[in-house]
Amino acid sequence: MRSLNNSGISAIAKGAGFALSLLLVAACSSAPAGTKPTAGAKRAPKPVANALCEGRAADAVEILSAEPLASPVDQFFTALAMEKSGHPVSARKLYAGLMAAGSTDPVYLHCGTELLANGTVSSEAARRLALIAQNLRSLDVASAHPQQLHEGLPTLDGGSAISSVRPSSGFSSSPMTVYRPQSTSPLGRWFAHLESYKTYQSAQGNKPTLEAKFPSLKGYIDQWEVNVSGGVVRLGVRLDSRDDARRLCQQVKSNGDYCAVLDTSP
Amino acid sequence: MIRKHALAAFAAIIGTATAASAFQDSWSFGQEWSYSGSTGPDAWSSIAPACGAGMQSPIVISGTEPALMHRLEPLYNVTSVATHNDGSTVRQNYAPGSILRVGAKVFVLKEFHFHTPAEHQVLDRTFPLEIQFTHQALSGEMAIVSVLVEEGGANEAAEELLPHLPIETGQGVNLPNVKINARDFMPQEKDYFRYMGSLSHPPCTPGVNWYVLKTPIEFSADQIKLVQGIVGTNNRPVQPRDNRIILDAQSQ
Repeated sequence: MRSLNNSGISAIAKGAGFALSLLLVAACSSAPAGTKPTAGAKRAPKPVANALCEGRAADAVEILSAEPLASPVDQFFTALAMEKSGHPVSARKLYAGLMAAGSTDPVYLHCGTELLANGTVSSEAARRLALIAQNLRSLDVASAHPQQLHEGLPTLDGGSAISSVRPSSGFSSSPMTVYRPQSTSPLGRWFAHLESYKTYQSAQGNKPTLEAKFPSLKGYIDQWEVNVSGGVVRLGVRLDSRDDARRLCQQVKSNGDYCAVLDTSP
Repeated sequence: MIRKHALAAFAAIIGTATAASAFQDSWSFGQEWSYSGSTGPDAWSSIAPACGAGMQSPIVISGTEPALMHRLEPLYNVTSVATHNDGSTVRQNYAPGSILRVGAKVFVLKEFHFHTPAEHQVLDRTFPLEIQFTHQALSGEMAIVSVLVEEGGANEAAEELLPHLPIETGQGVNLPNVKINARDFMPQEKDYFRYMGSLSHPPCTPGVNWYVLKTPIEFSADQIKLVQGIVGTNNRPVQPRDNRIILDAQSQ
């Protein structure tokens, strides 16, 4: 009897959930009354927007961190997904970097009547920072600026998506000393992936910044175009040895930056 | 040995706990519920809609966000043993005057009670017992401090209290001459995990400030067994995180 009741409740709940999802997705596709997107505003990729609007922000983080893109717009949506998935402190670091970088790229995202972003990346990052500060104050977080905080616990479900996009790269231009492995090769199978961009132009434009950050890798940073998330250009170092690629990434990650060893073989 | 004491106390003093509070009302709730069977957690939302509304407790503590937080200051008084077994748990009621201070916020301690096994989980670590200290501010806002218990040495404060736990549903034990302090059931180190949740039993009232202490205390195997024997299995299964912030407090 109980199981019948539960099934009934469950079916109704699922039906209601589906209808709610449809409404939310529909809401995401049209602007709330009285708010027009800033001219030329870039929107979040559809799967990301849907995940955010349907309350599946952790899924949005997963999608975005599968191919961490380095453009300010992509970083903004990554920070937004982190914030909405219950990780505002991690998001705060990304927002702070974006605000400091002063990006004027416009972004836009709304869910139903909630306008999540409509303005330049730097101004929206500043607005999100203010909202986070307000939320954290309501949870009794002390207003004094922390000196050096410990790491929080990792996530059990959903893997390490949050920690993998924890920022510091992209915004810190201070050079980092890394040992360049012997097996670097333009034809190497293993790719120590450092950053990704949506376009070839963006990747080329940001290559000098990456080389300035890793002086020992200057002349060895290569691009790799892949058809992921609608096509991206990855920047990184090609190597013949997987172990060398791992060692290089360990050095990069030890500074809190992103690096992943990828297999370029088809 | 402890059981012998408990039985002796049970035989000697059977009373009805007289302290009435909103929390006792919330435990009795007026509807039949339990931790298993047709009135178990799966069915709670049919008698208390909030139980199925999300943002519930307990949860798995993981993916926490480090933050500089106010210290927890439990300014509790010594009180007489005043325990009550309501069939769902055993509560030690507290007279007004004991407070928990968290920054500028002040909550009054109402009672503490036991869950076996523990309701909260830290990553994949489970605990045999959890003690929850329920507080309420003058505004009505609720705060629960959770102390996780692991098996180890015998707990001295528990030695004082456990022999007086009422073992039958509906019974209470009042011992004006036996004094305890709730603070003695907490660890010295009070760094905590903080999140917003609910009462972990019907009516599953939302908006509860949870402070799960990071440092467990120890009970001996016999002490844990005694509590288990009296309250039975009374842990609500862990609930979805629902995108909530879980702060990992580093005290100021």
